[in-house]
Amino acid sequence: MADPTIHFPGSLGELLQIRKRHPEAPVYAGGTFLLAQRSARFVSLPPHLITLQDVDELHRITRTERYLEFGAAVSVRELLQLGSGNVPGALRDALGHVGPPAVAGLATVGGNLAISGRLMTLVPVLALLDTRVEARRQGRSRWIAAGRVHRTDGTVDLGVDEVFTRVRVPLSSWTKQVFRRFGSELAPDSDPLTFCGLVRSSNQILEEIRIVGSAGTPQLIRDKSMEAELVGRRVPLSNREVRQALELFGEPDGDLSAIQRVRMRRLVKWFLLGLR
Amino acid sequence: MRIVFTLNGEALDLELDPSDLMVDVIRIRLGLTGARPGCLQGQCGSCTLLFNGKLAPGCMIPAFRAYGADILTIEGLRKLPEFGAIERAFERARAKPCRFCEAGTYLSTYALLRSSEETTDEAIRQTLSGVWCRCTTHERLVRGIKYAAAQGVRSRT
Repeated sequence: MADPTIHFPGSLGELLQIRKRHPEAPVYAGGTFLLAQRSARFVSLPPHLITLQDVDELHRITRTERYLEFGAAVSVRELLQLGSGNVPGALRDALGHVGPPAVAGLATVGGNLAISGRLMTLVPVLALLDTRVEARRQGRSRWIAAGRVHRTDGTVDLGVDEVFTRVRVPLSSWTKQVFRRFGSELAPDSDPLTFCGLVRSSNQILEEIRIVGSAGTPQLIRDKSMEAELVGRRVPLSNREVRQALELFGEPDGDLSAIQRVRMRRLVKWFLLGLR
Repeated sequence: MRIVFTLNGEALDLELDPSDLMVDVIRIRLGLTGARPGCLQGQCGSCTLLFNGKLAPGCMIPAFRAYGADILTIEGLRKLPEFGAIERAFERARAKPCRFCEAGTYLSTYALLRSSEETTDEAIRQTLSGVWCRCTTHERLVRGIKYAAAQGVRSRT
């Protein structure tokens, strides 16, 4: 069998050209998901493959007062090395859970977002932080909210000749940011669950609260009506207020195991009781 | 596929199957057996390499990714003066990584010492979190790395 053709575009323009010429060619960023999924001692390569390693534009990081923006092929480790002052706390914690240091040096945020059929570790946090992702094709660019990158059927909202190029994370100030993760999305039988909570309060009054969970399935677990109900309350919340909030939250929707359901409700309760 | 890369400072131009894993290329094709295939999921640290100056599991790098790369294995590290200094610091702390984990432990230590990161307990533990083996307790390794840092062992950049 002939060797596959590996394309090494050296610029974004070249990448988009190749993507247009070979829309069927997968884009290879860090490759950590692909390699962790393989069953043999080698990687099955398609006839054409596009690697992002030499596309400078996808490896840039900029930070302004309002947001942190980075190329989709920036590695998780590079973001961790920016330090706590430059990356929102919940995102930093989530980045630290992507894998051990050596894997974090290969894994990319774009790759984490582009996996079809399940939500990986970073997606819930990025969604909660109002992150937007740029999808580009030749002559066109559009921004997608991180929480809408995956359609309800789990497919990724990316055209055949499009590629994720930039990720923009707003740097809003939050009073409290919490991230917790159980199991691994790579092992569905580990009952994976990712939880993230953000709170903004002033003078002990809740101004904004966001809570999200993900069980690795394509849908995020979020109840905006419960969040709206809690805004304006004084913290700490009483046991009665937490109980009422949990009643509103109800049973998480979607294809969740009993462990995931119980864990999600307990995390919401723990988070609400911990508000100060 | 012809792949040109640098291994332990030596430029190589090899005909490789792009779908092979670098840990296998380095062990089987090039005979350097210090990087060992363990979990093959990038988690255990036994096949660790320095890939373009950064830690990377050899089992997560297909051969085509090595194109133009600069790779350092444990064998290459042994030839650098910093290795001796790290080894002496480990001996002082009575930490002796076994054959399974030496690539991950030494290369992780070398990478930490060459970075601008401070060698705090947290940074050391985070660095060593990619090495699963517990042949030498982490406490001793943490102490050893601190000794190395205190002696001014700074890897070349």
